[in-house]
Amino acid sequence: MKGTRKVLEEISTKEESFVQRKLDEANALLRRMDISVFENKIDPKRKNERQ
Amino acid sequence: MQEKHYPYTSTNTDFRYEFESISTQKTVKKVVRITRTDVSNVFNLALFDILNDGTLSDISESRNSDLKMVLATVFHIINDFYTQKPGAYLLFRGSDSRRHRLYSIAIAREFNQISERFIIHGLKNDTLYPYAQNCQFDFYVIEQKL
Repeated sequence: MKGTRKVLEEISTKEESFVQRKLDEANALLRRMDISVFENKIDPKRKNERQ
Repeated sequence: MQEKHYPYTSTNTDFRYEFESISTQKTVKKVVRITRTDVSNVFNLALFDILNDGTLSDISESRNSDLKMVLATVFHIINDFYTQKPGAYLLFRGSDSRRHRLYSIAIAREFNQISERFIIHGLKNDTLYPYAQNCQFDFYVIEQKL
């Protein structure tokens, strides 16, 4: 059982780093582009979240 | 979306979805993760396989001859996501040029059905454009029709 848990933890760790890499790519794109195109949908209360 | 799709399970607290792509040759476990970007209301969608040895891949080609059904499943998942995050934008792209091209072809083919519920935009050279079938985009951006 211990081994199974370890394997599952390893998969979970790999998945998180994988998803983070994809997220980093998206954030890099968003930093380059004019994000005001999304602003008409952005909740004004959260507008400053990026700063 | 009337297209046949795979059943999926989800952990909606962190928008993690799983389903299995099944053919007579093999079963491939697929995971969709939707994560919040640095820009509020903009999320990133990642689709990848969990291979038999437990490694993750978004570049392996499953070659399971079911791309249409996989994409239909992804759009059902997107629909589920929008029940919780109406008004959000979703970014996604294929991880390599071949897979990205496959997605482009599938979106073009299914565009009429997809556009019943979603608005598709394309990002090219960091600029957002309305979706056009013959244009190669760097990213796709999905918005729910409200």
